Amino acid sequence: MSVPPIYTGVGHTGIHELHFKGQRVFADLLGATTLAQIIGLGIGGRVLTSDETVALDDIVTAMSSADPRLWPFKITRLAAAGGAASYGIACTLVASEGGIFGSNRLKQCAQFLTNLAEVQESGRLTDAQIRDALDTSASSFGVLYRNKDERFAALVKQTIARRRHTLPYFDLMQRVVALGRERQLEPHVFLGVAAVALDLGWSPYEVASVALLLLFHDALPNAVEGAAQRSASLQCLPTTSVHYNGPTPRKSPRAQASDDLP
Amino acid sequence: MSEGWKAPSPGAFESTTWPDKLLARAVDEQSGAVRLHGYDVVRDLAVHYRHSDVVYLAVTGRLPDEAQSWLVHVASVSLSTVGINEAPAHIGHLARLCGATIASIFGATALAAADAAQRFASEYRDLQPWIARGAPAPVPYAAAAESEATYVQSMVTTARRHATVPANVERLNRRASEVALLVCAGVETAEHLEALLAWALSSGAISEALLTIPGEFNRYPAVLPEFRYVAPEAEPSK
Repeated sequence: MSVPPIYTGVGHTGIHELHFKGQRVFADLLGATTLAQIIGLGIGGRVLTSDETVALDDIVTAMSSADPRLWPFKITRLAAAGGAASYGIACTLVASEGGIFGSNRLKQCAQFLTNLAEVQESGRLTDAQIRDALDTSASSFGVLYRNKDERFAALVKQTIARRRHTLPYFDLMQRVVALGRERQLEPHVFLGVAAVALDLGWSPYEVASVALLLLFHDALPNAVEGAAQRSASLQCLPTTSVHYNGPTPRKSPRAQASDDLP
Repeated sequence: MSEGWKAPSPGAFESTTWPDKLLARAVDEQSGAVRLHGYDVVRDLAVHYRHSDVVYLAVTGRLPDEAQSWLVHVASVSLSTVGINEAPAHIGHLARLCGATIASIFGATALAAADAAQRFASEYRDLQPWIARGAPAPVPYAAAAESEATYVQSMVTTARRHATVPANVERLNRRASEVALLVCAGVETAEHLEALLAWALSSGAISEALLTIPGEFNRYPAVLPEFRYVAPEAEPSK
């Protein structure tokens, strides 16, 4: 049975030229492209303008919350403690799948905004409709262990400074946030990240991949430092650090039948 | 070092009171013996149970009875054979080819095995009520080729040496029949099913990699399957 070919728009490696997302790497990109632009090209398939690039810069910078006590980066430290930085990054990214800090959540935030935008495009989006939508927007709101998400506030302030706050998705997001706050719902930074990224012309699916970029960015220094430190306490904490609250000692049915265990 | 240390700015980790110990609910290492869900690991479990029983206990919190034990054993032995054409073993082969360490190879294959387990558990999650009804195999679950049907028939025959297996399991495809045996063994929740599948698949996914010669790229079919690059429609910059 023949195996059908897989068509890809990502890349091709030739002897004299590399192709990446529709661009010639050596002829067109090299020397003319910033790190944010090449990452933006990989995500959205288009070289971002300098105005757009700073929006991506701002997202990544505002999300530089790399405290190793934060749950995702505690995972980084635990996984890198054996000496391999790559394991720290890999475990962080893998553990984010389906969780509260990964691409699924960011995709849900983006989808929430695009659903509202569709209503807006088809007519008038009323406050009542937004309030109804808030009932299904759990991923967009909620901040752990503090009253407000300081990263959201910083990203909003910076987006206003860049004069990108009037773009469609960011404008819509601010309206949603105002109505959410009437219910004491505080936005998660991912709602702001989703709005900024959607305004770059990316789809919710493409926006979701930004979460991986953000995790990578914060995991990287933790993984490198953690691998160098090789912390013995992260490799294995003393058993005195554990409180056991499970079943009490018991004999298995077979041990009871054989009566060979005191 | 914490003495005299001051946080550069106040945060939730400073202002919140946190527990000072990890909470364990399965493994007890504090009672003079190592116990899993209350059972002495070396003086009880190692004496009376096979490895797959202990994994069943670790996943479900229960020890299997004789029939369940046999079904888990047969299913896990079958699941532990992962062909190089399947992604977990293929990844291991490639990682070894590139010179990765055993830890890296196992990590990569285990991840792919867990992903496959998630897929199988999701695809076959309707099996439980279907097995109970005794209905013929629905088309998506049926063996695709006669050789696969023969394999499944052999597995079910082996399983029936010490357990009861419904007749409708015989015509399933291989992975569906392995899942069915676990369901017949009392694996009730989707999470438990996924965890057992992941364990069994990951244990076998590394065998091809261990026999791969690092750097032997000329023996690897790099264009199977073939990838064809087609430049996306160029979007103008805004």
